[in-house]
Amino acid sequence: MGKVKSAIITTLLVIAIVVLTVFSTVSFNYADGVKRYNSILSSISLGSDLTGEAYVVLYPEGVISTEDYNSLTSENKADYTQHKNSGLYVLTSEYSNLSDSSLRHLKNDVEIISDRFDARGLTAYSVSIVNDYAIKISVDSGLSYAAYANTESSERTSVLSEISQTVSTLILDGTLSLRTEESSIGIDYDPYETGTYSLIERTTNVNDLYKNVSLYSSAQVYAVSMNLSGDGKEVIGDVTYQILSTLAEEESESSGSNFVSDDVEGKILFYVGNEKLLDFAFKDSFASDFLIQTSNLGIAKNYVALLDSVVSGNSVQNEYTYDEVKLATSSQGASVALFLGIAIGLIILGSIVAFIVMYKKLGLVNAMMVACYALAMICALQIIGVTVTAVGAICAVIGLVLLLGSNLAVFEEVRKQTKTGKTMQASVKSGYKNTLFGILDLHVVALLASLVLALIGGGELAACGLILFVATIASYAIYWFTRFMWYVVVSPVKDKFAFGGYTREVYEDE
Amino acid sequence: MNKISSKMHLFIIISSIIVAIGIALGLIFEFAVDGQRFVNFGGDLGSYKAVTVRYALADLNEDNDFTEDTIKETCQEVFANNGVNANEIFAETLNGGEITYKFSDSTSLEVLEKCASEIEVAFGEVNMSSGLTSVVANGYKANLGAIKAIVACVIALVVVVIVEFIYFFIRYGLTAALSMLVALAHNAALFVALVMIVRIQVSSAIVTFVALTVFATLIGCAMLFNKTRAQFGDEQNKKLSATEIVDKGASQAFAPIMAIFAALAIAACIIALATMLGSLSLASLLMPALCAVICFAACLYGTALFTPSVYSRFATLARKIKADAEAKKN
Repeated sequence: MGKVKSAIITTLLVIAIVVLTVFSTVSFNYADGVKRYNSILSSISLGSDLTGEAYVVLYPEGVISTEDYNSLTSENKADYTQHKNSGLYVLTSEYSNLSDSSLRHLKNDVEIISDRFDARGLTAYSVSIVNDYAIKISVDSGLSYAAYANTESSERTSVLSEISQTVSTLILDGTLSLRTEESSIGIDYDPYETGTYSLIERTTNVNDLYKNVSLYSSAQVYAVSMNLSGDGKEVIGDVTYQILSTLAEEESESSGSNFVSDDVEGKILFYVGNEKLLDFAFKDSFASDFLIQTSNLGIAKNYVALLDSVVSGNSVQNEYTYDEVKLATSSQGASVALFLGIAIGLIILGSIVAFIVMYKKLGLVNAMMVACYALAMICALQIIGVTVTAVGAICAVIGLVLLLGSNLAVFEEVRKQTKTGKTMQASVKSGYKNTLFGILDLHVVALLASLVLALIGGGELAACGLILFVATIASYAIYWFTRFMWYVVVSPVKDKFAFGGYTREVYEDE
Repeated sequence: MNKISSKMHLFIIISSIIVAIGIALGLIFEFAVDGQRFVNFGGDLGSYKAVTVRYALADLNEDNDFTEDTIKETCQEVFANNGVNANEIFAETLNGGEITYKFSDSTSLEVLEKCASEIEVAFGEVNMSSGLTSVVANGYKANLGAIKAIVACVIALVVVVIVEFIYFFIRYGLTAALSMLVALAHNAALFVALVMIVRIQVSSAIVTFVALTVFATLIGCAMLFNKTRAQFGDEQNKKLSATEIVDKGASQAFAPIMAIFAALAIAACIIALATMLGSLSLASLLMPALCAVICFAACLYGTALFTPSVYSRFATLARKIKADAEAKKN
């Protein structure tokens, strides 16, 4: 390769690295002083160990917190008894009745709520019992560093609202019922006093109508898929036919003509307990599985987790209230994310310096590759949207070590080859050839393991598997890119041995 | 016999002692120490206690010395006087703030209730005018989310082991695949035992570290078996015994395995140090960083020393079986 070509390629790559590094790591305010550019790095979603968790305490009916108790009048305070000197106050009339069965209800509810959060597929969550009579739910807030550091950000508000929506959906008590607002269609059966009418006979168990409820997603369209049993298809066929025919009759009666419009639209309301969850509109009767579209993926996941649990016969027994979802700082210290970032920066810097000391100018080529790896990981993590915990960051470092190890193995093999008297070009060729399968094996083993962890592991483990998967691919791709850039950068150099800090074995007859 | 292979019994003894100490310590803490468990589970994995301090618009009450900082200082002082250590978590609420001090489950709830009373006294009567709205001590029991994470991890690891066993079997042969299984079991056991010995307070992330130990072991094994396979294929080694060939490969693989795991352990140390400096507290030392150091140390020992010694035995056995089969044929 000629000098000009080499210079152009090298310059372009360096410019690309510098520009991308600036956009990846530097946040700044726009000229208007209002808007702010948050770097790609600071926009990566972080785990609760780095940016804290979001949590909420649920109180069953008759149980209140100390704060609520303190705000009561002294007359009302007399109605409550403090439970075992704890932060919980229980209605005195209820307290004497709080027996083992109530506690069992709570424990049962905790298990069901925990199962629902598990099905929701959050990176991390925990459900625990507070002093026998309340439930604490903690979930990963998934805040980015930008939102974590800037307490006024809109991201915090939307995260809080999303988590609040998830909690309020997944703690819903009661069973599933199919209902209608039309008194002429429904059966007058309303245990939850919703002001609506049941579409199914009291004797029919609604749960028997469903096989399960699953998530449907395609091209940014998200829906809840209602998968019906044989009986369910039959019942839904009857119900939809009955709704449409009744509505059509009503319409023809009101218009005074015998003409039946095709535009009659029926509607089924899906209630869990006394809460309306979804409504499903249709124009034709059907006796098959059906989809109900939702506005976004988060809501679809919430409904699927809840409905699948309910149709499996797992109903929460108590009704719970909570005051607000709170975002907490990390228990490891408020600035742990910042210092983790600094630590990783130091590791990158250390690896660059070590290679420059060992391999002179070839170390600079390696430095470019390390920068490429770091930038590739930052961009990939932001695009994929995976939540990065401290362990996830360590997984990214493992990928870096894999890349450095591969380069080290090749550089050392090349050194070995130069000592046999070969030219630099021949040494590089032999070096890469000799280490080809060893390094490929290493990456295949890493790729297989990370893929399985990402696909089968849940929560944080799956996130770490995904990070390892991306890191392994980045490491192998950049390993080959190192060879290309070595070739490009070294082309115009006269002493190719000195470039990498190598010495060629000179034989007496040369 | 050469260096590494001849020391298999020594390595087995060392590993067994470490695992035995880990199990013994775990049993002592499980049954003899009140409130402690087999592994020192942290807040998000097992039960824990907490003192929660809620206040309304504390920062606006600076006139009467009631600020977030004074609350924190007072609380820390009260906890220190009562001899309890806590991790501090701050959360904003609609009207002010909430600071939760998390304690291990072994901490007495009576002591924490006393702390809560002392904090209340320190700020006068609990009323809205002072800003302090409530100070309560609560116990938190059973984290069901973490148990599911452990189950998911076990299932994922079983599948990883099956997939990798098939890959190692195809790529390096049955003896290497079997050695890989032994290495995985050894390193995972060693990691858990070391965690139990040093009694780090672990969270649900511990299951991820067990997976990471498996991952690192697989990488180490791939490096080891690559070198030994090259030695087995070398014509010059035809007359050597399987043990000698494995030793040659293992000594060649030692440096790269050492380099990779040492680099990872150093990286984990840097992370541990930086996060410790960041929080200016040993108590806030990042658990994952310490677990990572233990994980890579266990993998270094297990993969570079223990596994070759076991592999040499498997390779010798395989050669013997093959030779016997050929002798029978002839």
